[in-house]
Amino acid sequence: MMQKKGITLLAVCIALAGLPGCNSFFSSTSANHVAYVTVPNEGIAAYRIDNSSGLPTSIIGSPFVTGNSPFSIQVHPSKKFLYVANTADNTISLFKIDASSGALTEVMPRTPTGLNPAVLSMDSTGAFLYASNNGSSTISAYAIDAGSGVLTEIPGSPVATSTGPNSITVSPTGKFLYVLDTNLQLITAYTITSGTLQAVGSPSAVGVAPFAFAVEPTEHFMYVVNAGSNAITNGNISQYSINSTTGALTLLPGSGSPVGTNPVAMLVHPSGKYLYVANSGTSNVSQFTIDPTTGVLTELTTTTVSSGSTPVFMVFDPISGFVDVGSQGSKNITEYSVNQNNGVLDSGTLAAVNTFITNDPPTSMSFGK
Amino acid sequence: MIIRTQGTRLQTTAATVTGLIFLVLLLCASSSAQEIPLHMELFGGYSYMHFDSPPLGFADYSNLNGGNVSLSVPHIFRTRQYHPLGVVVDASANYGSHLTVYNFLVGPQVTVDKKGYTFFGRVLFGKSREHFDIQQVFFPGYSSLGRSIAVGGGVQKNWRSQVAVRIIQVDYIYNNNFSISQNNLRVSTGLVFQFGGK
Repeated sequence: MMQKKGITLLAVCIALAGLPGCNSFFSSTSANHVAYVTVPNEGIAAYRIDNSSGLPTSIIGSPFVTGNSPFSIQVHPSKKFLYVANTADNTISLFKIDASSGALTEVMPRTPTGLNPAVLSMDSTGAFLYASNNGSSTISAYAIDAGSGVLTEIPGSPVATSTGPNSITVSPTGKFLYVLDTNLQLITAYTITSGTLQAVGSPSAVGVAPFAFAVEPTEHFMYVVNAGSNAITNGNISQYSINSTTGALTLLPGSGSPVGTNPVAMLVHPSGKYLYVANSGTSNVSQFTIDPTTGVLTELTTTTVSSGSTPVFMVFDPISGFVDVGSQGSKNITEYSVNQNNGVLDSGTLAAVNTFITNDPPTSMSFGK
Repeated sequence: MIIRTQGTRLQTTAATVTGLIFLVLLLCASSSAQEIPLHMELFGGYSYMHFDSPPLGFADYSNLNGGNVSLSVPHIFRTRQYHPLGVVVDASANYGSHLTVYNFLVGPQVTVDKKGYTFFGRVLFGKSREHFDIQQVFFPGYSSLGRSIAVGGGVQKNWRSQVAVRIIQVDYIYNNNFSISQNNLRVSTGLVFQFGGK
């Protein structure tokens, strides 16, 4: 009798152990990758993102401590390193990325920059990193050690530029670097030779209060979004052709595509077919198609999609294919899928997939594997 | 919540486990005047843990290796009539890339002898400590103490007069370290040293 009871109890235990255990043992996680978001009062918030649903899981140890006022973040193409501009410390932090967990370990010492480094930009091969120093009106240039990620300032750096370099971007081929000066309403082009910057002619005048710009993947065209003379008027987009040899800009006729108020961020989809502008005043995203030959913009049938409150940056997630918009008012990131059905009227239209809270106003975002 | 200093809580856990062991021994001692002499088993061996690390932000599950020890009294009611109920105190430590997981468990166990083999199943309760050793500038890593519940069983075969081989022991272990639910699977094997009468 006791023996039978014992056997019954034993069977129950083994069944209870086996059911959840086997489920855990034989199942595998869905495809995922990591995302890093700068949140100035906390450091770097790190998330494991499900590739399909966009759902985030906070990575153990997040947020990771940085220097003061981390503003811009760049993950190296090898996905082994990450760089953050510490605006208030005049430094760049280098972090090693743990491949299995996505956790970050800072490598000391921090690399000095000019005054108030704001935006970081890296060439697509990960050989060089550039920092725009708002306070000292210079661009710092660094060579990246492929093995350790350590930055070494390139001779001749920092390079003087116009006052208040608000934004910089390395062109897709890595041949040119462009500097946007919102105050003087100028774009300065530089050629890049072994990481060294050389100014190309005179800066190009752009529209009123230009806050963001983007180069499309073939490097034939550049787009600049101008906020306009005040906060209640709609902004517009200026369009330029790029001289493939010198990198010089030429304003194209037909520029002036309208966007919402206070447009502050712009993104060209890697396909080169679509352009998006985040309007922080109207808290939405303007959507356009790009003519591959002329570069002319055409508003999509659905001209705008809603975003969080006060969107300030847009990034493309190369792994999930989502367009991510960071909003400082609502302190969140909204992930959008991109309708890429060619020939369909709403091709290129964004559709919100998921939104997650960052606890603090996010300022930039970059992705690991 | 991530807990970075665990000294006090570890002491509490150690005190709890010690207390439970004492309770087990007390139970045994209280019945020592009865008919069958006390029988105890000390198990020690290798332990593999399929650790549920994705809730901590890992890309996939982690494979941890380590050791497992336990002290059990297979039959706490030592009357002449066979009774399957016993108690077990179990401890394991498993290590992997950046992760260390300790489990301290105690609970009831049922044991059945059949054709030279001994089958057992148990439900255990206790604490777990997890340490994530990604080095940071100002502190050495992240640790958390949490609840632990295990359900499992196994089979062992007598080898020598006082030694048995635990062929396999499988436990599903639920942990809630870092305030996150984790579902882990632990598989152990090793030797069992037997003391006292049977």
